[in-house]
Formats: sequence, structure tokens, C-alpha cells
Amino acid sequence: MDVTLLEYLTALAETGSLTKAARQFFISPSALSQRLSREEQELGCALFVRTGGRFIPTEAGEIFLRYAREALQVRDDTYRRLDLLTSRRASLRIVSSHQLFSGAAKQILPRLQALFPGSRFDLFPADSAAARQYLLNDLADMGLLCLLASGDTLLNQTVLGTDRLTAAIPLSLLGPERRLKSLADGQDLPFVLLGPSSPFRPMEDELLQAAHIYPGTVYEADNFLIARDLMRAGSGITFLPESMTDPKDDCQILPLSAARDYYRILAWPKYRPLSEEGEAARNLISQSL
Amino acid sequence: MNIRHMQYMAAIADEGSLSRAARRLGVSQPALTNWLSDLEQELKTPLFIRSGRHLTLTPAGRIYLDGCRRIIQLKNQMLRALSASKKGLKESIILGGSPIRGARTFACIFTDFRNKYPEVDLDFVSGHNNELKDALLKETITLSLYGSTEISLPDLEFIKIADEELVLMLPPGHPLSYDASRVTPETDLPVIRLEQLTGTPLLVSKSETSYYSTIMRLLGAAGLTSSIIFRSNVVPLLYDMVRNGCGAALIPRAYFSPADSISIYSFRPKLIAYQGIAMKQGHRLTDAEQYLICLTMKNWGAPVYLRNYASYYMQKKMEQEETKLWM
Repeated sequence: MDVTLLEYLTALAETGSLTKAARQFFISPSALSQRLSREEQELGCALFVRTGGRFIPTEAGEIFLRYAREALQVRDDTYRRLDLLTSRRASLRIVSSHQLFSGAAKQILPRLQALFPGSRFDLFPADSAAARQYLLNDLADMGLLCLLASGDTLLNQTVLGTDRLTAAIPLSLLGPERRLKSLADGQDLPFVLLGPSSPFRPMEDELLQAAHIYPGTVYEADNFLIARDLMRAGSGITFLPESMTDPKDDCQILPLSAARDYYRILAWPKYRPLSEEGEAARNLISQSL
Repeated sequence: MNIRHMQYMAAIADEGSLSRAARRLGVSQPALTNWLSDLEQELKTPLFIRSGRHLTLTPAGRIYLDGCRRIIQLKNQMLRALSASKKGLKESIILGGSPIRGARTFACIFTDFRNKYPEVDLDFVSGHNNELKDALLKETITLSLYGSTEISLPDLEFIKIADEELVLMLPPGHPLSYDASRVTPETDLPVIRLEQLTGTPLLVSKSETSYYSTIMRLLGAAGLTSSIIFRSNVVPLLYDMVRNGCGAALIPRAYFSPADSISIYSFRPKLIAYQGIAMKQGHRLTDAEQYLICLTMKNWGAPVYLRNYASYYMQKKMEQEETKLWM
């Protein structure tokens, strides 16, 4: 199956005629007819019947067309998004680790945009390892990273501060009276951890080991934002950066003595000087994040 | 975009390496490398960063891969739907729900569902929570709108749609009542402990509601079980009785309307009931069922009170703005 074929067959359903549909795509009616019969053979059922010279979709054809239209929509959306990304290059592309993303989106972007109304600013999330690659491969101009160590031969870095993981335990899991004194008390509860490819997963595993816990149920989240949503939904004990926890979320926040500090870092490539917008962003970020 | 290429793309992203992806797909590695650089040229943007051994997706690559995955998924759905229709199986979905809110939600989603899946039979059965649970386990209904105070239910799978806070509603004139006419859905409510209610007559729901056991446990702990003067599982009735001064009730916050001179209080920790869709453990959702769940999420019907509440709030806001205008 080919997405172009979906286009051909939706056109056939709309026009009801091989000749008219084929003309739209600059192919011959016999080529279209061949493509149609090959597809029907592959699927093992007729998609169109010919009644009075018109092509009418069969019941199976209707099912096929319903999905075809949706698939074409997805294709067009994808190309539109790609086009947006590549056509007009942004004056400043900031890549941010998920835990700093909302801060950057709320506090930095609007102020940057106010300073440079004519420029376009892109902000996209990625885990810190991918973010470093984006900076080194000219896919981003500036990055907000979370790393265990500062200092990089290829990147200029400003340390914005430190953060550490804490455990957030949804109150709905604990009930009205129970509170955990240490992580080990939560042995019987489910956990929400980051996926195995996340750079933070080893830190989480360390914390579990330090508390001698082998959790029975583990839900995996792609990043801290999803993990926090799962925590809010009451799915399980979740390790979150201190800066992302909020007692308003109806959770118990349990500081962990075994947690190591890590750095929140602003980084940009050494080989490329910052633009005017980049300098302004650097100032804003080091003041407010 | 064609399906084979989409499978290539997905394989490279999953494996993070061209040679492993080539092995998985059964093509040669140079062929795959050529294919990828052709595609990148066609799209005029790199899709992967080649750093060391590992391939990292670029932002453009992520967008393209998202699209690919979605289209592969659509194709598989289409094949399943086709094979079901060839066998002449007509899909039928029986949705369960509560007599008031469930029925209202069903009424909202029926037309949209029918437009997209005219060939699927959709039916509604109403019942109370315990009846719905039995029906799910006996498979006389397929899915059910379901309220619960816990997310993990034995033998059932539960997809949460909304959190609903249970609050205390006090009748007008109660010693602890206050002016709640300015309370909006976002307002943080004052907090109360159940022990403060000694001597107040209480109206509670019957054992059929999802939060019955939680409420009874709390009332028992506070020594208030003897204050219960009335039980009903019709929540709007309980609300009206509070309004008429019969007693206090613990009911979902959505029923509250600031026009009614009722006072509402929250508890710490908050009492939360989850609203969602339940199905039997291990049930595999069909496309039509997935769509039905999406529709339900969009149309989750707040009781009629909430709508009145919203229009009341809007009116208030407009009045305020008008006053500002004239000053």
C-alpha cells in the first residue's frame, strides 16, 4: 500500500470515473485501473463496483476510504509541520530538557518575543543527551540541559543552579491517615519511573537500591512531564525534580537523602558565537531560571 | 510516503542503528543508508544525527516518524475492520452508565458515533455501579461509564476521564455557613473536619454509588453515623434537600450552584472520586470502541447544575465589566 494510491482511490470515489480521476494525477486510466485491481487482489475483496458506467465504492470500499481519508490528513499535517520547521529558519532555536521546558515557555519566550517582535523563536523539548547532539549538529543554538557534571569541551556552559530528585506520593494512594516516613515504607505501592532510555533512569534505580526496594508494579513514562501527570492521576510513587513538585498536587513530598544533586545548565556551542537574540536569551535565562 | 518506507523509518528509530535496523528488516545496510539519504534529500532536512554509533532523531525526524507511525496504525486498523466485515460480523457495543449522568453523556455522543461508524450497533444500558460491574464481568455490556474512588479495580480495567471532588454542602442558615455566592469552579474552598458537624442531620447516598463505602468509613470514624436521617442514590435530590434546609450532604462539587445560598467546604486530604470508563480485564478495544471512549472524554457531561452555574458565572462577570465601563 502506498499513500499515493490512497489519493487515487479517494479521487475515484469522488469523481466516479477512472478517466477523470486519472487525469487529476497525470496518469493513464489503465494505469489507475491496474493499481486498483492489484490493491483489491492484495486485500482479497472488491473495493468498487461498476454500475451504469460509474465506480461506486462497495461496503469494504467505504471502510477502506474512511481510513484512507484519515491517512491522507495525517500525511498533509506531517508535511505542513515539516515545512513550518524548515522553511523559515528561526532566529534562535532553543532545545530544552523536559523539566525546564515549561519554565522556558512561560518565562523566557514571551519576553524574548517582546524584545524582538520580528524574530521567530523555536523552543522544543528533548532529553539532555539528545539536546547536546542538537547543539553540536546545528539543530539548536542554545540548550537547557540537566547534567550530573558540568564542563564540556565543545559547549560553553553557564550553571543555572542545582536540583535533585524527590519522591512524590499521591495522597489518593495513601488514604487519609497514612504518610510515609521513608521510601522503604512505600514497598507495597506502585512506582512511576522514566523509560530505560532516559538519562535519569539510572539515578532512579540508584534511589530504589539505596532504599532496598524492588517495586512490584512499575509504570514507565517517557519524560518527567508525563511522569508528573501520572503522579497527579494517582498512578504511583514518582521521582520528580524538586523544582517540579508542588504540594498543591495533593501528594506527599518526601526528600531523599540518597539523591544526588545535578546541574541545570545553559549551554551553547563553542564554535558558533551567539547572535544578538542569543545574548538576550542568555541574559534572560540566567536571571530568571 | 509509502508503507514500506514508513516501516524502515520506524525500525531505524527503534533500533537506533542502521545495521541493526537493516538486519531486522532483512535488507542490506548500504541500501538502507542510501534510502535514508534519499529521503532526507527529498524532505530537504536531516532526520537523524549520526553521532558515534547511535542515531538520534532530529526534531524534523520526530515529526516525520510520528506521521509514519500514525499511518501504519491506520493501515492495521483498516485491515482489521475489513476482515471483520468480510466475515459478516456486525460489531455491537453496549455501553453501561448511571441513569442520570450516564444517560446524559450517551445522548451527547450518539450522533457523532453513528456518523463515523454507521455499521456498528450502539446500545445503552443504565444501572447502578454494582450492577454495572456485574454486567461487565458477565459480559452483558461491553464498556461502562463508571465512578470509583480507586483507580485499580479487581478484574476490571479502568480509564480515568476526570477527577471529581466530593465536598460538604451545608444548608442555608447552618451555624458554619458562609456567603458562597462568589465561589467559582476554580476557587479554593475553606476546609472543614467532619467532627465539626456533630448535631447536623446528614443526607447520604445509598450503597449503590461509587463513593458510598468511603463516605461511610469517614462518617464512622467521626462518630456521625447516627446523624444520618435520609439515604438516596439520586444525587440531584440530595442537593435539593440541602437547599431546602433538610441537612448537610457529601456530594460531587459539580452539583453546586452559587445562586442557591448553600455553603460548600472541602476536606484535607481532598475526597476524590474518579470518573471514567471500565471494561473487563484483558478486553481488547476495537477501533469503534476507542472512538467511543474519545467521544466520551470530550462530552463528559457535567450535571445540568454545572451548566447553570457556568452561565450564572458568565452573567456575573459581564455585569462586573459593565459596571467598570460605566465608572
